[in-house]
Amino acid sequence: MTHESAAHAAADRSTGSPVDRLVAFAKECRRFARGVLGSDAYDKYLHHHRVTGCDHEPLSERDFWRAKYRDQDHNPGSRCC
Amino acid sequence: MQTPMPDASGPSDGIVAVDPLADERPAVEVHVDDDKQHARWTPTKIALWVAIALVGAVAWYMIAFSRGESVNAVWFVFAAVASYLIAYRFYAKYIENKLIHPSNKRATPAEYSYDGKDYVPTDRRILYGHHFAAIAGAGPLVGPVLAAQMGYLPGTIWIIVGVILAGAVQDYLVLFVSMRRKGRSLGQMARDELGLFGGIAAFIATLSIMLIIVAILAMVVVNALGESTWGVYSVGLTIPIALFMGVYLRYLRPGKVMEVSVIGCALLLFAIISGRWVSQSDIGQAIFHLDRPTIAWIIIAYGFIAAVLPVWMLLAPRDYLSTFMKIGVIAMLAIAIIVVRPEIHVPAITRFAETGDGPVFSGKLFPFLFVTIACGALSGFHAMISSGTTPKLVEKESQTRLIGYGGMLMESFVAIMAFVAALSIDQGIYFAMNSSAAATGGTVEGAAAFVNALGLHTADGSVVSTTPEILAATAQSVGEASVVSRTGGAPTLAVGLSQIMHSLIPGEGMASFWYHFAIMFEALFILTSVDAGTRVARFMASDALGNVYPRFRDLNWRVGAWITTGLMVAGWGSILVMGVNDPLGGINTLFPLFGIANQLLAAVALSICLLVFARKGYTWQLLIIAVPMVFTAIITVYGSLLKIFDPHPSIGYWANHFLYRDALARGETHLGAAKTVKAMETVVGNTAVQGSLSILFVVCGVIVMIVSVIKTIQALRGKGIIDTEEPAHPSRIFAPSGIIANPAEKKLEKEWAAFYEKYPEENLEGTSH
Repeated sequence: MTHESAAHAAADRSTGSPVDRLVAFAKECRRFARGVLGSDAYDKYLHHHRVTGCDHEPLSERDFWRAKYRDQDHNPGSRCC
Repeated sequence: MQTPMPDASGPSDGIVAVDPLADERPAVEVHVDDDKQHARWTPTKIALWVAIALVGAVAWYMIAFSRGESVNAVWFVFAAVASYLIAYRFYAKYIENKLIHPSNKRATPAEYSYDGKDYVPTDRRILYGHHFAAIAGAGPLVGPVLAAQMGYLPGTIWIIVGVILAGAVQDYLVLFVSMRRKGRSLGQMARDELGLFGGIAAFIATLSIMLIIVAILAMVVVNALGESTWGVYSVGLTIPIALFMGVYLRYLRPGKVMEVSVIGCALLLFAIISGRWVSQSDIGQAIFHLDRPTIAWIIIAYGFIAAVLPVWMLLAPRDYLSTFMKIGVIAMLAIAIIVVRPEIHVPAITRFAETGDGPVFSGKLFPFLFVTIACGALSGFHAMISSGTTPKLVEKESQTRLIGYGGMLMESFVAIMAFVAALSIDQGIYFAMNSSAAATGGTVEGAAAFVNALGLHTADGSVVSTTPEILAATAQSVGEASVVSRTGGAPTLAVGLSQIMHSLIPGEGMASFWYHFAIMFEALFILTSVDAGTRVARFMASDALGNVYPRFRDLNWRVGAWITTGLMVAGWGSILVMGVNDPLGGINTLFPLFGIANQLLAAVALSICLLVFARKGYTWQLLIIAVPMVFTAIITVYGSLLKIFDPHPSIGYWANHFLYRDALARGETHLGAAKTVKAMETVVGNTAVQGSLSILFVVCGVIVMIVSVIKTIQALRGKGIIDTEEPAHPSRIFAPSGIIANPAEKKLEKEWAAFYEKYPEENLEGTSH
């Protein structure tokens, strides 16, 4: 999601028609679910890449997830009982 | 060295980097005047809190003093929610103001170490869900079920009061302390604060506690799946489903986590539904009807293989599935309890609270209730989650109250609902399910005879009784061969849940679907915990072995990984096999060990927090930590001492050990539940292991507590002050503190939206607020 559309989604929620508000609400739910599940990891990585202005090309989605799972192999986190 | 002032935490004491956008950047926190404006008590606000307090008071009155024939489950929900709201608004706020002193001028690790991967400022509402999904597992669903044998009142009070004064406080403090240390783990903080000796004791305590927790959770699964064709088939099918998801994410559509999770959940539902057909077929019975020792060995083999396979194959996809199931199931449970509002006929307190000879677990209310209900009231394991991942994602320091304290309140709510579900089932069925096979003989006749001989009464005075027909019919309605002696909590909760859901959505065969749905989601959590727990334990072990043979630290050394994994699996696997083959029952003897281990870890975590805040210069405010810490220390140390020294064989491990050893020496061939010499020898071996583990836990735990108390006293006298916090970095972002932004925060959020419109590269979070 780009900043522009995100800003619009936020604006729509308070000012738009009921349909727009519903769409904005659905988008919020999706964003929430993706965040909790961790599905947005690549988006966050790309965003970081853009914001920090790295020179090199960002990893492809496939390579990013491979690297991410490799990190998890090397640095396990625990789940609760 | 001078004692630092508690409030000296502003950015002024850190490095002040020059902000090129300083003129345009909106404020990083709500202006103090606006904050005061918001904090002012308006008549509406007062009315609201008075109403919440009244609802809570009425609900507590109904639970605690109204001695009618039954209590409606909805009062438990009201009492819990009203208490949580008041605790969150007043007590957690008090802790924030007096002890934590979060500074929103100070950047969190997510901001100053922003890397787009581990350190990312995350929307507080998403982080709340994320953190909750990480802390909530099978624990809050199991302990309360077992504790129901003592009646509803002690368990309810402990779950609610315990979480407010102890559990949520621990999670909040550990989260904050770790966040100020760039997300350091509990083990690292123990080493930093306690020094080498205390650090080693903390390490041994953590590792051994981890293994016992994995073992006993695995045992819950074994007991739920033993002789259950349907259960073994549908839970077994989760392995190929997870493998499929792993391959899908790696080769077919990388990164489409949401999509694959939806597919995975649909497949899970199919696995549950098709289990009925499999359990009714001869081939299905021949393949999937397994006894408990066989399942235990399968889980051990699974634990080893899963922990050496790469994360993407099994662990990651299982995690997605269990997060999905977790949120869905808990929402379902809440709606079901509020809509169905089951009546509870269990008395407020049963005689087992006083006599300590309950068939579900032995021991009196004090201290054993407080260790049996661990997760949901106070869970030391959370300290390992609250340090590490979550602190690296927090956006603003003031959000730790919502995520740490608030997250634990939600877990406590899950425990209350599991408690209600267990209390709502017929008492005769409850005791037939939760008494060990040693007591019931494993048959419906034996179980009915045992339950009827207990001489218990329900709240309206009628005798708790059951018949072989009722037990057989219950088993049939949930699609199982038998429900007798299905100890471990999971099957009882599944029966409770299936009855509640069945009265909400009636239908032929629906009860058995809901039963297996509940078994499936508990098994899913637990098998993920087994896998992840083995990995973390392996990591700790290879780090320690690396001191002796440095190559163990090389993460790419496969042989090393196999050796350490094998050692860790042998550790929990041997306890699992021991429990499964225990002639005396297993869960009833081992579960107190689980609870004691978990609460000892909490005592360790709280004592580290005590030392940290003493070194920050606090004095009387330390009571916020010291009171729950001392209480936890008392219940765990006293509980351990009873387990080690109590002369009653049903409570003291060693008393039982010597009882059986002497009987063998006298040439007896049977004693109590052990009908053969071999069984008697097993009891001698098992009790020796259990007794030794009790000693190990309590010795390590007490060493950590003593070291930290000594260092705390030194700190109070101004000696030995060390500051292990990362230096302060000025913050350049803003986010609201609570779950809903207040008007002042909303106003500021708008300013930030405009700022980000102009300078999108300044927005680290990347998504809208």
